[in-house]
Amino acid sequence: MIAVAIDENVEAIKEFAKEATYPVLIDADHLFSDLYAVSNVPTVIWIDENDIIVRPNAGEVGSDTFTEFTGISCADHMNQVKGWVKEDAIPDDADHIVEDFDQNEITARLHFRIAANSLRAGLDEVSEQHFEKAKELAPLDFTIVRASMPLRGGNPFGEEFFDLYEKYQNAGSPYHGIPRQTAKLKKND
Amino acid sequence: MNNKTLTVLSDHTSVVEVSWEKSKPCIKKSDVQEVLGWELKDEGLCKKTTCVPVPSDLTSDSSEFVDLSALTEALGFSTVIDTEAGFLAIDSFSSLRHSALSERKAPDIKLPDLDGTMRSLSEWSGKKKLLVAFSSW
Repeated sequence: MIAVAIDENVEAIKEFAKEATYPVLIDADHLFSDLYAVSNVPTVIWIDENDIIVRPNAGEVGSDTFTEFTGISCADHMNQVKGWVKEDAIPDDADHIVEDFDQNEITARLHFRIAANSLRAGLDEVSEQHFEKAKELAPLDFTIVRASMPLRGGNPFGEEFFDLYEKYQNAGSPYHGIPRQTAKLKKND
Repeated sequence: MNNKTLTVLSDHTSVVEVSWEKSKPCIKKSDVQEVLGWELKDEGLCKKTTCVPVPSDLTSDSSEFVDLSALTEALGFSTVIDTEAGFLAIDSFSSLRHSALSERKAPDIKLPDLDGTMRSLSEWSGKKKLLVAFSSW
């Protein structure tokens, strides 16, 4: 297992992953996210010995902490992973073709890149303009809108997250990966 | 457009000298390979055995500088530029992402680990890999 943190906050990830027994890579520039069309986390990708993607992007979890919110249980995925490792068993949903980004999503990612880098350079106003443009172009992409919340002085677990989640669900939970039903999330949860 | 340097964000980040001509970012021809990963030759932009043609005035021109936006256009890359702040972002991943999604070829990528050491996915070639993308947000 290899964990990839799609995150600008390197210190937070170091704290989060300090007891990890597996490699943890840091993707502060969202390169992995751009390359593998990852639009939300957690996203799991299975890659075989010959570097072939045998099961593409899927929203899976390692624990049941958020099962109530997400409707995703970790046991099913763990059993699937065990079946793959021991017997090369591949789940039926693995043939799902992940849709590529459209032009707006690509442009949004380029704006996000400028925003994150200009913020690091102390150019707060420039950064804010590009974050806003990115959000306009890809309003339901969590790796853009939610990832930018802490960088713009917001709270990725606060009111604006719940607003994003509601819009996302109302739009049919668009995700670059294997689709699944998500549970309704209430603001007082 | 007082910026003397341009920060180019693609599959890597490079900072190069820039001269602005009618809002077009012109960089030194000698910096093209570092910035784009493609070398500017008489035949066009070349990488290994592949060459992509570019408008002839770009290669025949004796100027030390070349319009970077004309080169990214020739390569078919989407771009976003901030001429005031001096940033150019390039989607150089489009063909690799396409082969990942449609042909299932897992593209290699280099990223730092928690100690700051650069690691490549190809280090784990020959093994099954479970990639888990997560975040603190």
